[in-house]
Amino acid sequence: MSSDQLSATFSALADPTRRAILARLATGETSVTELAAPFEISKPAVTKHLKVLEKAGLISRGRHAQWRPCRLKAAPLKDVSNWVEQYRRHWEERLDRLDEYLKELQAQDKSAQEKKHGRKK
Amino acid sequence: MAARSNKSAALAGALDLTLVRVFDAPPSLVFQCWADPKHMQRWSAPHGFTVPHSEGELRPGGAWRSCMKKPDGTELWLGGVYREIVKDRLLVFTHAWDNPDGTPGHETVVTVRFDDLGGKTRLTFHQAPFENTGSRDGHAGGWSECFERLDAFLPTIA
Repeated sequence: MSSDQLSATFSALADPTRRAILARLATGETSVTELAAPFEISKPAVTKHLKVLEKAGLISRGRHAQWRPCRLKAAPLKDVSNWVEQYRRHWEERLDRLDEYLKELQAQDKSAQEKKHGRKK
Repeated sequence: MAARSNKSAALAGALDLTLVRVFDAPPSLVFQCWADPKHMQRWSAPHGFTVPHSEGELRPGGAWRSCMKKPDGTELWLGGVYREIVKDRLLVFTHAWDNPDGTPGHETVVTVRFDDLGGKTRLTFHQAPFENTGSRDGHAGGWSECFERLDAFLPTIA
């Protein structure tokens, strides 16, 4: 997946209404009217959100003239999930090194103190 | 040993990242390791990587910039801006890898919390891939709930 595609997915997801729409669609395909029902926004506003999601490849819409059911296309979400997983491994390794480094720092500190103490004697 | 008491998990049901770890060192020292570029250069990259460059202006709005060198010599540049700093307690900064053309890539927000456990430190790392600058508040309020169903759905797709 190109990073541009990932950015497109992220920007489509960066809106609570669109995420709620996707969550609803995860339970099955539905119409715009049904999608609009739980939100305090107009049908045209929902349609606008759907266009963003469609452009990002996160949903597809049926071709029936009257009833154009919306369907979730989850492949880009899987890519996001993989991307987060990469980050997790990356930070886990960095925190491992931080752990080692802190031990090193504290050991240095301790030996410096012992030296100081030794000199006093 | 810190390594054994590590608790790390991706935040359940969400596509953002939370890691929790206990370090056998006081918050003042752990915080310093995150705040001081000299310290950052010593640990802040995965195994086998080096950090040939690290700088930062530690104040809200101050920029930071860093370079990681992969074992094969490839340099990866990244940077961001500090948003919130509470000494020994909290660091919030934006984080973006450079694109190959040198422009900043997708920006995330990293929050690192340092809790004092009587000489030890519980570090809570959070990175939110969906938060854009200035839109954090708009995303508060249970978006992870929105994703619970999606999360259940994800394993079912190829």
